[in-house]
Amino acid sequence: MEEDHRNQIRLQHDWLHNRLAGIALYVAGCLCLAMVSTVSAQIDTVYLEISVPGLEAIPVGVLPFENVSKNLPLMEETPSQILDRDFFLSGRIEAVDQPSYNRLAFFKANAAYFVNGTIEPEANGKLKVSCRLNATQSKELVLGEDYQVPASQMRQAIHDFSDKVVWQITGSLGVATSRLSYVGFVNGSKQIFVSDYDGFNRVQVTKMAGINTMPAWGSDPDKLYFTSFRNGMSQIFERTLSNGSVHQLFSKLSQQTFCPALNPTNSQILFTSTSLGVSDIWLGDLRTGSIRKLTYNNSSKTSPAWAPNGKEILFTGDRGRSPQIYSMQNDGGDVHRITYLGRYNDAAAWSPAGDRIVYASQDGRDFNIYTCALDGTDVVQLTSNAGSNEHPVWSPDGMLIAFSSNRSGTKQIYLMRRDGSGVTRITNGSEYSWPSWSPIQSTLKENHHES
Amino acid sequence: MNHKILITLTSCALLLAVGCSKKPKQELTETNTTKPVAAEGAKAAMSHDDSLKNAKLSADQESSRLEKQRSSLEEMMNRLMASEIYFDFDKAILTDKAKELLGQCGDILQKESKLTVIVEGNTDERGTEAYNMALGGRRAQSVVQYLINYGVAATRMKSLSNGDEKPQAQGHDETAWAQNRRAVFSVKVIK
Repeated sequence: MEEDHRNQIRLQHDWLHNRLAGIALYVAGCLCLAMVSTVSAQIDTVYLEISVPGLEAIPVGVLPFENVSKNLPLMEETPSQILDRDFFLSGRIEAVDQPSYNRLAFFKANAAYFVNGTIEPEANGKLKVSCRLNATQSKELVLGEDYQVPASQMRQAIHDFSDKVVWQITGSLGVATSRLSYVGFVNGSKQIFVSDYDGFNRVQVTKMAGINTMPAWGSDPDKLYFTSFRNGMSQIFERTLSNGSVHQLFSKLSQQTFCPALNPTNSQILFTSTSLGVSDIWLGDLRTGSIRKLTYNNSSKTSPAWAPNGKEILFTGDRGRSPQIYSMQNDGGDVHRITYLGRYNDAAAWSPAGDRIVYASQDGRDFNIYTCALDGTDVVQLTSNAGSNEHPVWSPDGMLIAFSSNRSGTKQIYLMRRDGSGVTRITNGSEYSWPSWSPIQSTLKENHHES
Repeated sequence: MNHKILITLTSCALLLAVGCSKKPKQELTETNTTKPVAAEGAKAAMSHDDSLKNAKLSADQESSRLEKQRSSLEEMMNRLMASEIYFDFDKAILTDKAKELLGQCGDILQKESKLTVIVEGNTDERGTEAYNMALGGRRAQSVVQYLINYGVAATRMKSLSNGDEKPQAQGHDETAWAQNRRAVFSVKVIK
């Protein structure tokens, strides 16, 4: 396994060396994340919990970036600190930090590559961030990117480079450029927030007083769906992040709706709607506006979630008296119960690889996060003895799970690897819950098909 | 406990009765002074105007009476039910006490056929937000269903769920949870 990886890297390196082209110069616009408001965008400190990495990671050396001029704006974290966490969270790269190039230390750590870079202010007030991945032995350039960005987007430039390094070395897509949405508690109301995947650059996107909750992302990173009580009862809304426009979905359905879940492959959306006390799963189409009910018996059905192929559905049902996870086809047929362990299971999400589901299960008073195989076997508990842990969602690459936990005394958003290791808190202050992960929005996505 | 509720009920009913007999008169004088009769002008049409005016006044009187009735009933139903435990944890089955008091709400609704009711079901914070939405919906509907069985027309009632999003008590203990497992009534007048 180890040998395979090494060979793979060597092959990629040779391949790259042969066709090593010039360094792409990124215009700032490429990274510009259009945001509607900038309130509450202050940076959170993030702490890492000591953990045992559960997945094999490839060591890569990381050197501090050189500041060509000292006249730089104050940065909460240095580029190498951002890279360290990105690599850690990728689960596939292990940062080997050194204060300066140290061939011996890199060899001892099996780091065949190292990252360095520079930051300098440009005449136009922007920063030029130059990032380099080099071969340890020859010091030859393997991958280089130059970014011209406003100081506020320095982190995104580093995240972008991190994803390119992950792709270069492991051949798989990283999620450092993705974003998270979650619910924040603001003066007795609940509001929807969006931040970078590491919790930085947090922005409040809803302002309307009252309850705004259950955010969900589809395949378009510019569209966010959520449930709001702004008209007196729960209804689903679509918000376009780039221009702030909001509209209610399926308003012809005069009963309350909640729990939106977007099909990852097309314009379909699942949601729950309650009429005469019975909650059912509905299927809507955002393009045509059509809706239809998928479930019909008298029990409660909530929390729909899509399979990555966009054809099967997970949901929570209580026809066995207590809430449990079920699966069905997208026409409502072929219903199977998945979970049998635990009295109260909800909030299931299907892994992007299609092999596992993650869900929250009540143990006594608290919830914990579990994964299991699609037939309900091979149950693995990921959280324990650390408060109540809910709302698990997969990262688009399936390597991480975001969830909310009150282990610190308040509800906050955490990330962990899919095996429960590497628990990292990404919010602090106030209270936050119900994370939803954006699709991968890196420019790498196009390169992915090309290579 | 029973006596206390009966007394509360009686005093509510008394208030209602007093409200009905007194308040419209105040409205009447107010109408007379604030809407100038002189503006109607022509002397010939005096008697016709008088009858129009009387019809208008009685309509005003009626809508004012209904509004009073509506707000008193809403307040009364919510006060009546406020201290009561409606549901056991994770259940949507009404407790016997809740049924007894709901019957009294049903009596009033049957007398006032122009009033409609929205019943909002609420849960305590335990459990998940999503499943609590479903549970709140079932609770609201079980209140509505009880009133239907009591004789109130189904078309006059609607159930909604707030899940655990609108707690009445903020604590994290059984006292707070029991208060939050409730239904809230909003009474409206049919236009």
